[in-house]
Amino acid sequence: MLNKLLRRNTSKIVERWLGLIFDTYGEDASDFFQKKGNRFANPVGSIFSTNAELIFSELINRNDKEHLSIFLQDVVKIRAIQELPPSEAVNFVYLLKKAIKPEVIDKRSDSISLNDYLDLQESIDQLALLTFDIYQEAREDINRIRINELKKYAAVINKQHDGSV
Amino acid sequence: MSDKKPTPEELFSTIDYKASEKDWSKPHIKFKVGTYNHSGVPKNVEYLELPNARKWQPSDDDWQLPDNWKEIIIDGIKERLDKFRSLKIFMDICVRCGACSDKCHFFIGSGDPKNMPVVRAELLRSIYRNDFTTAGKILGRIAGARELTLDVLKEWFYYFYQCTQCRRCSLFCPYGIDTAEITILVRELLNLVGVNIDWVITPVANSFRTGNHLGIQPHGFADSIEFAVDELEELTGVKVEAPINRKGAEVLFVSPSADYFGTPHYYTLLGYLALFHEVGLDYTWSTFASEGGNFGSFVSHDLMKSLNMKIYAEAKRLGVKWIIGGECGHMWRVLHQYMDTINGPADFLEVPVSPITGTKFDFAKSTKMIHICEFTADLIKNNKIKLDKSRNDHWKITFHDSCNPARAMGLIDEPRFIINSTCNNFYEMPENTIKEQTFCCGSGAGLGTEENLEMRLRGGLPRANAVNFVHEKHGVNLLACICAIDKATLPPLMEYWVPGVEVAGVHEFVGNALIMKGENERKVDLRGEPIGEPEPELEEKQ
Ligand code: SF4
Ligand code: SF4
Repeated sequence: MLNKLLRRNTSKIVERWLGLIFDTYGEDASDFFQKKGNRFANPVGSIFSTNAELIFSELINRNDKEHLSIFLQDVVKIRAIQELPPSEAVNFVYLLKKAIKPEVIDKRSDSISLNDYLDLQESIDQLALLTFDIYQEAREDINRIRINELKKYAAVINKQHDGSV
Repeated sequence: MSDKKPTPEELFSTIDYKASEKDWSKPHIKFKVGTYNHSGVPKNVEYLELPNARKWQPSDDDWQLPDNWKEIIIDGIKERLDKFRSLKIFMDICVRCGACSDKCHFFIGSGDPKNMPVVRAELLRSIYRNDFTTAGKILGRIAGARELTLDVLKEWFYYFYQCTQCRRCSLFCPYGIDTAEITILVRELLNLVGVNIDWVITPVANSFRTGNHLGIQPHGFADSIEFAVDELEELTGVKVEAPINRKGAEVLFVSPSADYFGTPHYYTLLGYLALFHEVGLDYTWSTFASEGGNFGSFVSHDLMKSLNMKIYAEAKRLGVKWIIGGECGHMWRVLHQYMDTINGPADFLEVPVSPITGTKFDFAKSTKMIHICEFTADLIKNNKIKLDKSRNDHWKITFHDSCNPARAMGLIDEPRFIINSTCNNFYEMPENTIKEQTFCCGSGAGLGTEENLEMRLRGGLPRANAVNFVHEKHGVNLLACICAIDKATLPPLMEYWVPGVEVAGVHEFVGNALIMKGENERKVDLRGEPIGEPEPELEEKQ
């Protein structure tokens, strides 16, 4: 069964997935982000590593949307402030397809049904849609925070014009 | 990989002397809205008598530079190499060991290799090699040299206004190379051809014009202080004095202007006022020195010097004996590292002695200026004030060491001592994110404006990540700090990364806990919020 295969190979798949995600940042960054060690010295690497595993396990086990949202959020918030175009910011989800492929192709066997495989692709597509929603929320947050900063500044200027500062 | 060590010959044979096509030395910056600061407003550039005032933006193709801009920059480098021995040393001695490379919050958050401090410095060093070293002149790119072009200049702007001069990198450099000093000098060079940012230029112009960053006029300043006095009376029932420009006072008090117009800074101001009243300090505010901050230090040594000079000039005019400075970050870098040599020694002042405890602050015997945390910690240590810690029980606090007080002046124990003496619930963030190793807020050195928010959120990620840890573990709901820039820029950082965490200055806790003679029963804190009651959301977390 496909699910069994994926469960058995979780760490391999997650590691490959992370490698593909980190490579989107270029060589130096990828080396740094993949460094295991202190989570406070390398928050991006550590958050991605922890959450990639959580996301993948959730996806192939319960596939609960709420849980997935929570696990996605920390990753997406980081991608949302890294000067990436939206398509690249959410692209990390599609890289999961790429990370899974070798497992399925290598171990091609009759026990993996086409149906199961297509279902998995469908779940990843759903995950991508969810990611896009979260990305959009993060971008709205950024804009809201930006507007609040401006308002705060404008309030001080107004007070100054009123003569109250 | 085989365990056999390669011979030197084998190793050499693997070196590719051809500069890679994609190598870092080819700059090309795309200015994406939201990630860079806007240029200085021409009228303020002119006001400061800085060169090349004009309307332009970093995203323009044509930066309208003077025809001889290259010559100006190269001459500027030469002049600074002659003037600052440190610059020459920093240019020559880096061995590219990489110890600093992953220590910068901007690199940690973005993964952009040009945010590695060693590469940031290399952006200038490559030009230095090209024009000032024999190897560079002969070997060019092989020796790591490159020619100064418009793209290089744009890259300088992008990356040297993406350095908060926090000095975290220098802590790890075995040679003590201070990339912040390199940033300071490159910004000086950029200013020579009129390349600057408004979040720095306008506050500097305002400070010259009216005395403070926002351009608040003397009567406006006086009104704000009076307003704070009234508000403090409403909150505590105690009417305090807050003298302004009073000649003959013992102490001049200088704080960052945000304390009297910003939130949450304002609550810190209320704390100062309550404390000074309670211990009966003979002090004065000044309208001329109504700004502790010194954005001049983000433009050039000259502007830093002129703005800093106002503090001593005012101390002299008012005839005070010594000076206390408020909760500010870069103000203390300037005071601690430069003031004595650029404008001191202040022989007309006396070595600070606390009139309440008799403690002589010998470490300030040359500058004659101490930090308010030093003053307050000494009062507490000598049991000169009565404190009710439970009045801060609604806060679960962690402390962010602001880069300048922590790294530039080593003010690490005093704020912690004050917090622990005024609050019951204090939790430290992980060791490698505090004290000397503290992570920057990501918005210092003039970068703290909304137009630049995304870059700030990226740079502030390592700080926020550590706050999140204590927020989740202990239910921390307040991030304390002693820097005005932090108080302005940490709230949005928290809003994005760790919602539910507020920001406060240390003297806000002092003001809350301080038992004042003749006070009403305190039901609310300096924010007007009920005291002693943990917020419901937090009770659930415990
Ligand atoms: S001074 Fe701070 S911001 Fe600048 S390069 Fe060093 S670590 Fe980065
Ligand atoms: S730590 Fe110092 S010597 Fe090493 S690469 Fe960084 S600046 Fe150069």
